[in-house]
Amino acid sequence: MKSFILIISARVIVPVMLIFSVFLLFRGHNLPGGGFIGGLTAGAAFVLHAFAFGMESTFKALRIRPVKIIAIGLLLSFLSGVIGLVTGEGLFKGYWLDWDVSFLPKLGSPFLFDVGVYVLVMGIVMVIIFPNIQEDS
Amino acid sequence: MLICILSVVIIAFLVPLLHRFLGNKTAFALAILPFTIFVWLLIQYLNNSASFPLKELYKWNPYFHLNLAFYLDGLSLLFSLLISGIGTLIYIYAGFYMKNAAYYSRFFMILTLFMASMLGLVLADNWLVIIVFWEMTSITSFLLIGYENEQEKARAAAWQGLLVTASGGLALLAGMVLMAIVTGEYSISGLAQYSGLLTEHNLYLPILLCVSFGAFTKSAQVPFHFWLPNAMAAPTPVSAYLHSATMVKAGIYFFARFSNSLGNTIEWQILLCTVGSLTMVTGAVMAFRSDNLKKLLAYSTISALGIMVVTFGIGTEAAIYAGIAYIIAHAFYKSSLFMLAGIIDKQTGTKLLSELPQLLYRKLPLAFVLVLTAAFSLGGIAPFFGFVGKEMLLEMTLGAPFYSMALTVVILLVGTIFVAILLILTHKAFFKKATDKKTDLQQVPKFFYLAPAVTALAGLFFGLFPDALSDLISQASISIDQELPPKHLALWHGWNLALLLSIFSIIAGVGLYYWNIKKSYELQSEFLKKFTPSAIYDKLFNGMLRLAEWQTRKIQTGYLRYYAMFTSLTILLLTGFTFLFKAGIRLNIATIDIYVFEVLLGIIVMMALGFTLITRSKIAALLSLSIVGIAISIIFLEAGAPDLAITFFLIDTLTITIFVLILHKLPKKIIAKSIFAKYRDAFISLGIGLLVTLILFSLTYHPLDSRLKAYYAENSYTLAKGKNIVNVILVDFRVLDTFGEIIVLAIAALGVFALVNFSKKKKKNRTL
Repeated sequence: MKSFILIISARVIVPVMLIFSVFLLFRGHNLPGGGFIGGLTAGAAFVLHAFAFGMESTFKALRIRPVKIIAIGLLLSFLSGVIGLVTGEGLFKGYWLDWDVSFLPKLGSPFLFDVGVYVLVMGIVMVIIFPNIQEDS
Repeated sequence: MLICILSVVIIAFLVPLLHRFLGNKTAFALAILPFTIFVWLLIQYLNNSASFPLKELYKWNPYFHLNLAFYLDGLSLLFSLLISGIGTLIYIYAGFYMKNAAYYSRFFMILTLFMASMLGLVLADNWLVIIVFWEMTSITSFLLIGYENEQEKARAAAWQGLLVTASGGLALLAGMVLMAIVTGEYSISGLAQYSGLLTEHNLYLPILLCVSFGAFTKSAQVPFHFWLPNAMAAPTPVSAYLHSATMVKAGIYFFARFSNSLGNTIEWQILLCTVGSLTMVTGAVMAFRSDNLKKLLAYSTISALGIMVVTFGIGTEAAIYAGIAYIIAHAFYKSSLFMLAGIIDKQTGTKLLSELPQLLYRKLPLAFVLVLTAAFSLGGIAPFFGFVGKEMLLEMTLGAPFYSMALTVVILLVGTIFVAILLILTHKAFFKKATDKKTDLQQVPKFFYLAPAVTALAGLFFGLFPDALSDLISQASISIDQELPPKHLALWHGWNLALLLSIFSIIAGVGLYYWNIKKSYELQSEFLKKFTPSAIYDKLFNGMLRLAEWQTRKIQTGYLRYYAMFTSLTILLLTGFTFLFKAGIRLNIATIDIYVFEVLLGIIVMMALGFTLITRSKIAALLSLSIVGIAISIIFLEAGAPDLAITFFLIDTLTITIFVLILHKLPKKIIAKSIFAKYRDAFISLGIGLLVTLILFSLTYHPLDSRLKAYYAENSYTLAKGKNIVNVILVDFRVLDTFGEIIVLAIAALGVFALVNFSKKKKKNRTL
């Protein structure tokens, strides 16, 4: 059962949601937002995509299995902690780049951690919700 | 010393690799390892014994008093010499015994690990480290006893050994903790100076009971002795090693170690002498009645362990010397006898005395001579080392400051039975006239006899020249009591009472053997069988399994509503109890400000909740419930927590999405509950709600300490270069917490993934 209204609106809403989720992620360092919220939004975007176009096409669009997305997110967060371990300053010591881009937050290991959280949460939303979507088409 | 133990552990893990290259020769290559340690220890003994104790200390975590401290004095030297020396022979013997075994490399790996943990146990000085090694011996011996894992008997025996010795380990841990509380001392070597403090302290009795409970289980004292005969399910090399030099001797080691800090009190003497005497008599009688060769030896070990416990219970000068001499004597003859029993088993195919072929001494002359040599030591016949040990034991009991008569009688009784056992091992086993079975003997290589021959002949050698061991025994005794004078052992003590009693026990033993030779050895009374410690253990074990099964059936019903109910009920009871009786309700109405806005939100929430409860449509209930979620996020927003509000809003949305998705798999109408269930659920829900409300009120009774808040507010931008404090706390200040949380999330998602894949296996492969 595919709803025409849903498909048309999803075409517009899904990209907007994804962009908005990245915006939330970037914004998080200085204003309300952050990796967790952004990740939830991005996950919700893919769930909407799956509602509208069916899961097969969502998987095609993703090109990567949600479980792997979780793993990648965890790895990114972990790597942000390892930097300090390598330099000997201790696990999760914060490091920043001296390089500011106006629309980006202050780049550094905490931001990398937040990106990891974003990716991980996005994957988790998909892993938990996708199995419950019934394919009746 | 750390290098010794570490190298053994590392080599243990290399065994599978070695096995690939060396095949059946692995065991002989591995024998080099304990032999090197043996030689190293000997060198330490010969060159450095004047500077004993040698100490080694590696700081691990000094804050918790956890240091890798090692300690080599006379006592630990003696035990580690036994472990490594007999260990070398066990490897050589096992090389023949385990030839072409199915799990060859696994066996030797675990055996090596076991040896490492035994060495660690006797060399460690810090008691936290000792506990670690203690548990390691329990676990590795569990694996060794259960080596033949396809046999149910072996598995049950392994369980029994593990449960008994591990429960003892727990008691020992408790005892050690109590000792640390009393003295503040974490090294065993330092405990002796607190002897007075310990024995006078109120906690002395609990400490003594805990420590001796641990040592009793390990050294198989009555009533915990039953695991040892059952542990015969292990391959013979393991039995020989466990009985002669390791595992059971660990308990004895503890009594020796603690006799200078906990010993010499009436409680200590009564406890050790009673349990030890009971054990030695029980063990001796059971050994005498056994038909299975290995069981007989196992029970005689129990008896010997009882003797050793009694010696440290008496604790006089003569007693300590006798105990240490007897440990050595026992190690020699018991390892040799076990190994020989294994060879006889291999050659004749039976362990049962009644099934051995007739006139075995003609067929296996070498085995006969060696059994004779070792058994004479067991029986305490001159000129074997066992005789020296037995003489010392009799001197000890005759000179004991208390119950001298009773102890002498017990020792004599056990000595008599040991002589009878000697005759069973030699005369009954090798000179049987007639048998109804014809057995063909398997050929074994001559070097199979090497290991038992060494220990048997060592018993003879040290019997003839006991003075060679004098210094070692004196060293060990001095580490128990520094004021002991050096002792000189001799075979011939002259005509004295001990010798006369010894001769008497030999004659009585021979008499006992001939009197009892035709009796059958079954335990007759069915009534008594029900009350053996072993039967009680079985009852407890099965009872626990039944209890677990019952409570799983009751609680794990498989219905989500019951899980939710039990979880809520548990929270209500445990948290409620702690809150009401430990913290107490603190309510300050004056500090609670209520705004009109909040009242309005509250009314909306109440209405939504009421509708959820009344409606019979699931989707309506769900949607009205989502109103509650949104109302809560508005409250967060109003309270100045936008991050929280957004998160809550998103989570609420996604939760509703999931619910909607699974809703159509459920029955359309809500099932009507019974009146009882309605009241029960209402009670639990209201209780939880009330509890959380009260806790919140009590928490906000005092203004929250805002130092942290101020710190974060001040340093968020300067230290972490972010203006959103919540986010900075999450990804920078408290990042380790967040990291732990996202790991939990990932694991939960993996759980969902596994669950879904499991239940949907029949469908086509999902690419989740």
